[in-house]
Amino acid sequence: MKKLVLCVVAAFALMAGGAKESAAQKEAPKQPAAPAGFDLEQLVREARKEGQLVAYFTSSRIKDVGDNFEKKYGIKVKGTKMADPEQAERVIREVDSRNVQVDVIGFEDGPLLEGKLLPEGYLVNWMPPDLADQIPKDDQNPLVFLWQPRIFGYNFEAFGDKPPMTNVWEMTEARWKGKILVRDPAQTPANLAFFATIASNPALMEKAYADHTKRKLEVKEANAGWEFLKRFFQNDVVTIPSDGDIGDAVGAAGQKDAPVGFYTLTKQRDNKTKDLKLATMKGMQPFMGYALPTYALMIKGAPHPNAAKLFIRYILSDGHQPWTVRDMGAFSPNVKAATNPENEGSWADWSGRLLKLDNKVALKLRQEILDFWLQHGVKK
Amino acid sequence: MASIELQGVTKRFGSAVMAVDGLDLTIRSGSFVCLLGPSGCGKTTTLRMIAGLDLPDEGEIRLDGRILYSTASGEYVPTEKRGMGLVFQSYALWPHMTVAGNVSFGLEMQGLDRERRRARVAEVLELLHIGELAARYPAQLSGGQQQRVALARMLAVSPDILLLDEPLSNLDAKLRLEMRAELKRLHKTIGNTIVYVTHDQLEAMTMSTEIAVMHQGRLQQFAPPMTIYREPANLTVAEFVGSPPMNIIRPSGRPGEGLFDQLAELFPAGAGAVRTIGVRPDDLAVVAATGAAASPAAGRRWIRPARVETILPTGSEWIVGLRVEGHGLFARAVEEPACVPGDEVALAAPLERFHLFDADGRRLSPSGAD
Amino acid sequence: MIRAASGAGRLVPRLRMWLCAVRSDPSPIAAALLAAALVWLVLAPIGSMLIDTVRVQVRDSATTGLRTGEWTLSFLQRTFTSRVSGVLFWTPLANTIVVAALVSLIALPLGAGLAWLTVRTDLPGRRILSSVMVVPYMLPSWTFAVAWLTLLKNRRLGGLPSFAESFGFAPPDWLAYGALPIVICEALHLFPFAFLLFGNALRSVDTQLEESARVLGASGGVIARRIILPLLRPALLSAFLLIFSRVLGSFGTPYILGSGVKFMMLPTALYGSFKIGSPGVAAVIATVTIALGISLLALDVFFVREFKRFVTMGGKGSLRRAAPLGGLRAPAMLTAGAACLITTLLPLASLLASTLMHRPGVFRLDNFTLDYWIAAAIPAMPGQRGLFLNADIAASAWNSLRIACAAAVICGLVGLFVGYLVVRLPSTRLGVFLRQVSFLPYLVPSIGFAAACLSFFAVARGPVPSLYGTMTLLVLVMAVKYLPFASRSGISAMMQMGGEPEEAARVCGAGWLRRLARIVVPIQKHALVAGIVLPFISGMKEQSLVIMLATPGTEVLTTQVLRFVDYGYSQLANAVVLAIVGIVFAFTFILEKLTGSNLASGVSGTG
Repeated sequence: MKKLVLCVVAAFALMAGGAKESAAQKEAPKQPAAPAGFDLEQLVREARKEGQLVAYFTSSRIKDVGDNFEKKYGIKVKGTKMADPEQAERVIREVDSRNVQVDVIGFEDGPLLEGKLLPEGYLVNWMPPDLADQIPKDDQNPLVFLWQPRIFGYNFEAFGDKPPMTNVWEMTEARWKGKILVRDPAQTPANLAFFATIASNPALMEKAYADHTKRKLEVKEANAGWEFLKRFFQNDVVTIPSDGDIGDAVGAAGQKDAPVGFYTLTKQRDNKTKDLKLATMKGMQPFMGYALPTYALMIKGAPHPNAAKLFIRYILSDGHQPWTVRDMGAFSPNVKAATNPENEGSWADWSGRLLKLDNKVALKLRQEILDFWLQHGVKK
Repeated sequence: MASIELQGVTKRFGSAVMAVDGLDLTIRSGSFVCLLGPSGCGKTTTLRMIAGLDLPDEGEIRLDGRILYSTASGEYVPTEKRGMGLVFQSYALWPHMTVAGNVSFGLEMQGLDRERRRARVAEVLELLHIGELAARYPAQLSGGQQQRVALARMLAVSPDILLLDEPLSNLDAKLRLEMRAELKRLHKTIGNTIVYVTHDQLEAMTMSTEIAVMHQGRLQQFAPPMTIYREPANLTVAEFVGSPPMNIIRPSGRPGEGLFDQLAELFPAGAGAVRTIGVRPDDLAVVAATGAAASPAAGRRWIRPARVETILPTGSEWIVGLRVEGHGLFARAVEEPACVPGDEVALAAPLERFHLFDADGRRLSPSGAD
Repeated sequence: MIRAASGAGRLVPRLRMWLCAVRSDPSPIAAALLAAALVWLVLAPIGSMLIDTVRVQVRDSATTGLRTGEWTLSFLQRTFTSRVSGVLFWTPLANTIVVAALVSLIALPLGAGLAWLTVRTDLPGRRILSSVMVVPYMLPSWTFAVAWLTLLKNRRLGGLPSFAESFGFAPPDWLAYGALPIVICEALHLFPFAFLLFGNALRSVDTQLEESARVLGASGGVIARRIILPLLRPALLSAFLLIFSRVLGSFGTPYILGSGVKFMMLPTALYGSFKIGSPGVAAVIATVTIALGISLLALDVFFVREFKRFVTMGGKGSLRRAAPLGGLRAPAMLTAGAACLITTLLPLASLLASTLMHRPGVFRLDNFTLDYWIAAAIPAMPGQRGLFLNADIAASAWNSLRIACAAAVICGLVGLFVGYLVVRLPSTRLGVFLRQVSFLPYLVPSIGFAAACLSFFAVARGPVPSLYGTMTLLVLVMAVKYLPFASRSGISAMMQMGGEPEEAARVCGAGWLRRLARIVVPIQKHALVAGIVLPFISGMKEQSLVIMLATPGTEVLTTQVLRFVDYGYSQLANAVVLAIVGIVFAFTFILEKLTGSNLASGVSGTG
């Protein structure tokens, strides 16, 4: 009998442990007074007093970056890899229920960010004042800390040095039916934004078609952009949960008829570690893919605001190395940032090859694109 | 010591079944009262209401004048505070405690410290001759031992009132006799008020100071055992108490069966009102058939010719079945009757041993001589 | 003669009486409070979900252009009648029904056949078969799915090759993913329930019925058809409805095997809508799932009165004539043995094998490794360590244990308390109501219930703060969902105990709390343990409930598995599955030894 009581008490004590943690975090966060000039030292001091930083990032590198941050400033970071929709869900719920547990997010859903989360005050955009001249104006609000090309890639062992495709319209052809791997648009807001941007650039798509086939495009949908999307979706595009999986599938050695994929350039680092045979489709027209931004923002009411600010500043200055230098395929917006030599060019070079996403259009068309995908891409 | 008073106590189960109906009963302090009756007569329900485990729908229950329950005023003293003792038919010993644990539980509730509890437990176990069982668990005990433990548990807290609900019905005959004697001894020694529920009239007769006979929720008679036996207040009581049961003689319209009419003539005082006449087998004597044809009421004795139909030896006595004036009657003989089935004999009984009942079954004034 | 005054004059004394009675025995008040709490915990979330089907939430306001908080029928329209409703809802619904039907078609005969072999024939080793058949209950429902991928997936989703591929065979899409594997895996997981239900039913069929028929000259076949089968009809119907409702609420298997080929069933459709950020549509799907589940199981309750399922199989041990198998002995043993192997050994063995190899199915010495169990760093999985060194997995395991333990203890205690109250107030309306309400959570499919609770508890309500992201929410939802099991065993245990031990304690002067603590609970030790162990096992392998509720701070082993599957870390995922199974087995074994109780008899009562 006593044993039972002890067990029950123990069980509740364990539970209380968890509850206490959240209770501590629920204490009203101190809002620091805005300093007249930016004082890095003071920021560091304030940050150190606050305790462990909680971060959700779309990249798994957040763990390494967090460790480096701790080594440099002595502030622990609890970094978790989390997909965009889940991040959005958490932020909204936490802010609405006034139980904010996360401080900073690395987030790729630009449209939602610009259209909803920033205007309605769920997130706070903080640009480190002393880096203002190192970050291009366009990338400051909302703050981008990482640019990645998301590109079409192929298996060079199967197809040789010459890419098997030179024009995006080839992806609508029967030869590639069921052989194109992309991240599930329903789970990848950036892909939806990409398709929305295509749909709002009909002239570009029409010209690309003419260049490729030397014929005029027969448009049955609303415009050339939608026509492309329809044919593309109907070509049995295979959806894969992550870029890494796409890279593995496309680049696996020993494949005679390898698929092609749409993935972030960084996956090509696995060529060395996993013996993959990935290569980009250089010179693809009218674009090789799109420029995927990752934004860094603070949550409104974050329990550790100064640590969050320090972290944001860190990844914009020297903290971005695990992404941009150690591995290839990602770029910091910071003009002073070092870059990996294998990148096939600088960010300026890449910008010219990639489609830039239009967040406003993307948000407006999001539901329509999603439905279009469900209609044409999911129904067999 | 304590007296119990029930006034107008009524309990219904559902809307139809009347378990106890308007019961008025006063149990004197120090008495040993048996609630006797067949199954379903309300005796256990009454006991539980005294204990407080069931609540009456109407009425009042008092203990030494103190109200335990009153529908009128809404007062209700819960079971835990009544300080009574109760032994269940199934004993309800707690299987997860030792005998000592079971017995000392009530003492714990009273707030006694460990030393005093231990002493009292030992004392009570000794009283019931089960001292050596203190460390055993109920599952390891025999029926009789469990019963004693239940008694010990009840007695340990020295309650004013002891309530027992058919405590001996699960025991074999020998044990039952022992326990009956034991209980009577305890009553003599400790002298508490005891309320004892049973359907066994032998138990009621042998152990109690008064018996309350109940039937279909109503009190039939409340009197000392011998009164119940000799002067049953109504037909129900008369038929229930006594083994073998009382012979019942009713008017029969058929010719040649005029026994009732014959007997009725012998009691002119009850003429007109008498509808049933009873006489116990032990009051009937089988005698030789001589001079029986003479006046049936010789002096204060009734005697008639009868034919022996069966003789049933029980070992300690003989039950003789006879036919008189077309009626079948049973007589009890403590010595072997000097007759065999088929013999013509005579049956005799003192007039004052006949019981007269009216149309409602109620007892009529004692039969006197004519 | 005292007769009480009539009418209004009785009000004050009656009130006084009631107060006194209730102070000594607060059961009616406790029952009322508990019933109210359960109603709130079950019906309020469902009500909140109903509201969410017509009210715009933040995520939806971004995509639909409607304002947050506005009332609208657009979600209903989108789910049921829009151009995409087929993809979002109707096709998953049809898929679910078809899968459930096929699963029943396989699982029922299989379960019934094995049950008959075990109970009615002289099959050698049938006792072993009986105890082995409890094992699948201890495996998470999606274990088979994970094992299937390990054995039979193909290149469509990339990643590590399967065993089949390593042996040179490329399974076609329809074999590797989608409807066929889902049906087979669900059938393998669910047929033990049919086995247990039929076994119970066969055991409780009074052989005297058969024997009288035999005496009257009926042949074995006639007896089977005219006497046994009709008696088994309730069990048949019950098993069918149970299987159907399980398929309805099961998330793991369709997720693992269906998403890659876009074969959606209701649970994955619900989850998908939720994850995309269409909470309105998710709410509609969840409501339909809940309504379906409730109807199915309510049917079950009405056709097979609940208590019949828990008839104690005691009886006078009538001699049962075991039908001799004769020539069928060998095939029967083969079938039974195969069933054992396939449902228990095969999945576990394949999982274990995969965790020991870099590339599954490549049987070269340099391919074997203990990396995934004990390495400090795994090159293919940045930031991850082998299972025994992995801080994330350890944290998840700790969370799983904490949550399952807490929920189980609450369940056990409350379940016993419900049993106590229901038995103390048997025929009053309150007692009946409490009994029915405590059964309510059983009717709601897990994933639907989790969605409803998330929607309801994510917002602060009065004195109760928002429980979003807290462990409390997980414990609460689990405890409520498993309460029916605990309260069933609590009720039957209390009925067996009867009222007299407690009354004896009352007479000895013990108050209500004292009686509960010193008499009722100690006597019901075994029932309490059963009421704790079974929810604990269920909690450790629960995925459908937690998948909607767990967050990074409250990650548990079952959600960790899905994360690993999503990342493509197959070996780690499989290792975690084995860890779950290991923990469940270990705890069950320890508890059985400690309390001397037998799990199989407890499991057969729950289904």
